[in-house]
Amino acid sequence: MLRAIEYAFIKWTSIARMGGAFLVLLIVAVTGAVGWYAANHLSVNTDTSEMLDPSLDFQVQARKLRDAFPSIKEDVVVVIDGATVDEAEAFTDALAERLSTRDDAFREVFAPSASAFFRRNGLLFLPLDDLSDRMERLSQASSLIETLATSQTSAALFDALADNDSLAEQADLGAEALDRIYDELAIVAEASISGETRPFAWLGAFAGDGGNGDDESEATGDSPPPGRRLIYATPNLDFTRLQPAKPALTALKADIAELTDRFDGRVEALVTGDPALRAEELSAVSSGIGASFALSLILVAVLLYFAFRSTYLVVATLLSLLVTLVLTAGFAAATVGELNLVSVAFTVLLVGLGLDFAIHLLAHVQERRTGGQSLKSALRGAAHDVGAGLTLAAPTTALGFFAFTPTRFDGIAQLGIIAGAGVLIAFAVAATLLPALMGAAAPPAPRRQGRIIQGVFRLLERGSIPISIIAIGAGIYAATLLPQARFDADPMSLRDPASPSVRGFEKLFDDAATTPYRASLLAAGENDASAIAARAETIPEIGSVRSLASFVPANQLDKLDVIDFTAGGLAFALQAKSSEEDPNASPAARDAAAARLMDQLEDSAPSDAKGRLLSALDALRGDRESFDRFDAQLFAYWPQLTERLFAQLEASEITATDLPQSLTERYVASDGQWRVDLLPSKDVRDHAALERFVDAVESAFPDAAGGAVQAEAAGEVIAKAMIEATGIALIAVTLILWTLMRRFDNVLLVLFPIALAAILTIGTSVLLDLPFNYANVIVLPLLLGIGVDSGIHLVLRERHMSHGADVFQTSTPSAVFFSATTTVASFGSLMLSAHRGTASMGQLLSIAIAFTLVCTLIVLPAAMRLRRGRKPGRA
Amino acid sequence: MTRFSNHLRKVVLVPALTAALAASLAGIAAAPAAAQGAANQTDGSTDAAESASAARATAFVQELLANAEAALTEEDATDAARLDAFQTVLRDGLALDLLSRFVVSRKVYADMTDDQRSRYDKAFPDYISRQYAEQFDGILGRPLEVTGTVSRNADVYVRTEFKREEGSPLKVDWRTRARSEDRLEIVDIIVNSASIMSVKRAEFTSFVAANGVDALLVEIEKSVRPATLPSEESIATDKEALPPEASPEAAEDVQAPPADR
Repeated sequence: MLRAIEYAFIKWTSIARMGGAFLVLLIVAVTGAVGWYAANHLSVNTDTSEMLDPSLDFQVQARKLRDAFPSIKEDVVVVIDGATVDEAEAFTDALAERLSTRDDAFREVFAPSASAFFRRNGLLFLPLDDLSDRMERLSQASSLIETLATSQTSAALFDALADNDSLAEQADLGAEALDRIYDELAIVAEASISGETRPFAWLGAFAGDGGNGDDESEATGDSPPPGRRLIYATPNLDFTRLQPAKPALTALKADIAELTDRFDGRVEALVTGDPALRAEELSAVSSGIGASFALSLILVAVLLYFAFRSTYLVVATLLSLLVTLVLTAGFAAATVGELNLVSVAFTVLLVGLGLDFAIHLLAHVQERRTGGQSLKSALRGAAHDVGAGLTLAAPTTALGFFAFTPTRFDGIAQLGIIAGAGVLIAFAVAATLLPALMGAAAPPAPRRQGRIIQGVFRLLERGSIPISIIAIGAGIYAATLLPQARFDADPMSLRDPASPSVRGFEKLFDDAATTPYRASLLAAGENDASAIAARAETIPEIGSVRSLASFVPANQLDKLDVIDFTAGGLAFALQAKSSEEDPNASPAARDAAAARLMDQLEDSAPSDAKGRLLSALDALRGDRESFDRFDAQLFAYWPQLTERLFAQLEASEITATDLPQSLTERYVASDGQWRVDLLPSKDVRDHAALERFVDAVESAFPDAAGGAVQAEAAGEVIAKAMIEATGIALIAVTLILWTLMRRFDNVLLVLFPIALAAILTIGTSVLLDLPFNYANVIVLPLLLGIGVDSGIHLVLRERHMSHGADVFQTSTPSAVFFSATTTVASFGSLMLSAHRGTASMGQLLSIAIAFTLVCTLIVLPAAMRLRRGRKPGRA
Repeated sequence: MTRFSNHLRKVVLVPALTAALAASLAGIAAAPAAAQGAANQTDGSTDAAESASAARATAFVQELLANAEAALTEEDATDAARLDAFQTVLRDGLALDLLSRFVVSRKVYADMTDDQRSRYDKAFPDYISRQYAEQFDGILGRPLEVTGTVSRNADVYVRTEFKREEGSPLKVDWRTRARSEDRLEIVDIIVNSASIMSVKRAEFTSFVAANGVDALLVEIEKSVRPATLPSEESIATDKEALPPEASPEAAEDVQAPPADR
């Protein structure tokens, strides 16, 4: 069988050589046409949920949920953080208003803080105790509010504060509230003196929202910062584009940029949500690809030059690689049409495997020509020596990839089809184009081959036994780590953590109520939803339940009483009007009032806030310009405060039918189904916590869907699929090798280093906490492909050696070495990428190739020598 | 209920409240003209019904305060009788049913047993009226001015002010509500924009949360005991001696029986 293959290969390459320039031009023309076709028919789909078999149970549930509530998948979320609550609210209002007018870009905009319904009734959603505290704080400030309602001047404020301070001192009540105001005044005064923008945060000072983001109001693990607001926007999708949400996202980011400028950068707005995440991911993956590609090309060219010592052969090899890639892309366009995040890496595989055939063939040609043979003889001789190996390696490796197709992981199945075909194309190109090129234009006479690499191999040969023992020992230990290997199916693990959409996504975890990783259920109606909620509340892993019923507050009557009686204190303020000629508006009145306040502060019991304000006022009084600036900043957000406070005081009892439609639509589908969200009690960014949460939910609710379920279930399916695919591939490869080699020991020699390298790679990924993911999962099939090829080449080359000769004295080990290192050179630099998925691919690839080289060039030859009974170092 | 009472006294607004009440009683002769002026000052209201409501509320407040003054200064009555009469005036004028549920919270009230509810309903009117009555000493005679009214939802707020020797005038708003066609009641008293009933509610709810309903009932019932009214002489002689703002210490002095003074 092998002889027949050899003969056929010799014949084919001879014919190709005779085809010469004509054949080269024909191949180039076909490649050009196929390239054009691929460019116009090949696209990329970054939706990871579509990489799995749609008939899987959790996929079916996910689809039902998405069909009922498309906003889950389509919404963008704007996460707004202001230095103060006032600025965040003003920014949110302005942005929500703008987006609402962009009917072409967004069909729905929901901004809770800007919604008239929540402005009016928002207080009802606070727990009763919190509401009482807040109303007590407001009550303490009511007198001040009423005073300022008629005169928004610093003089009126200073006088009112002096009065209140005096009363507060006598009654030991209100001092804390006043200190908050003093602190805030001092901050504004200091900023005014420095020439900075810092409006007085009325909402923060009076409503007790904190919101002084300049100081301490950073998010704790349990709650977001006070100055955080969210806007949910459903974009109009243009499905003729690669990124359907791009026009809407572009408009949104333009509005945000303009508003950010208007607020002097004191408000940050990050756009997240599925459309934004995927758009930025595509951009991150593709950005810098030109420079990266150029660098890789240079590194590969340098390595090939070391391998061949011939510029002609380097160019020929790269040309064959290019033709292989283009033809494979054309195949992909014709068969699958749309690549996914896994199959898009076929280029990586083909650089690793596609150069293999060219390197082996050309390296052997060089070896013979260096020995004095003519080009024709050298090519014929090379075909004789390596033809069988090349011809055996191609279908063996291809079949190994085709073995991925039966799995339920469509991502790897698609890659299997494309890569398998690509390997066959690479073989065909190497066997056809390279001889044709050499026939068209003979390569120059070869230079003397360097001896460095030969020297290195001799050293390795001497140390092969101890190295092999260590490698096998390490492999045994690594085998014990295999059960800990996992597939991280969380698409967030791939993304650049510094990108705006990912940062915004992470911020959603600051508030348990907005955590993106939750489980969701479809309930037949309200009663069913209530039953689900009741059952869910008994499960400790579930922190809270959210459905439309959650938006009807409890204890409304008591809460309305509290609000109503607090509102009584502002009854006159609600109708107060500023006088047109306000005597407090003059600088003289301002100075005098400041002096009175300073006297009161000095005379009363000291506090840090009073001390700070005293210093600030003292500086202001001597600086008219700063004092004017202070005035302007003092009441910049006063109208916003009164509008919000007075709206809140008009709260009224609400039922589910009173809720805004934009909210109702998110929880009740058009067919009447209710959506019930189960939120985790722990931070499920920790994988163990995610696992416990999903297990607990699925035990009680097998039909659960949602992001948390998707991440966990997908990981399990993919891990299982990878094991299945690898197992099928190994069986298929074994059968082919056995069929063609007919010697079981040869089959073992080929498979053993692959298995060892795979075990070492997986064990290392466990030790380094480098889980497999959608990006780096191709490392295992790549390892299989390179390992099979290299093993076949070495085993079959040894078959041709005369007794006593050593395979390390041939070009085959060099070809194996350079084949592997060109792969590392092509993609090892990826580990520096900001995209985490790409970086992990570079890391794991480098590890896998290193182990493959050790196992193929050290362990395998040691095993071959053991079989022959040779000792290392002897000829 | 020492902590309870002390907390009450510490409220900055209580001294001002008592001063306002006493002042309104003493200055009642000047009220009609001022009230007439106040009616004219009703802001922004051109609606006849609103004007009528405002006038009715103003008259009600004035009548209530006049009756309270009269009860306290009845020459032929004993101290106990005057106090009873004063409490009767307040009980008749306050929306006790609303206030009793508000200050303890509807939920706590609804969760009470029948016995608890019965005890609470019985003791609360006396308790709340006694709380105001005990604050009267040394604060009568201040001139009071009705400066305006405002309507909000179903209520009319009548604002009275009394001048202080230092600082801005003390504002006391009376929140009135029509309980029937011919009857108004006081729903809240707001001193310098702070609701007295809200303060009272904060005290009651925190006390119940810490000690339970039964303990609250014990405290309320204990504080509903015969109290001693200040004598007329003490009222008259202290009129001029009243400091601009009554201190918590001064308010505590009110508790001492006249014999100790």
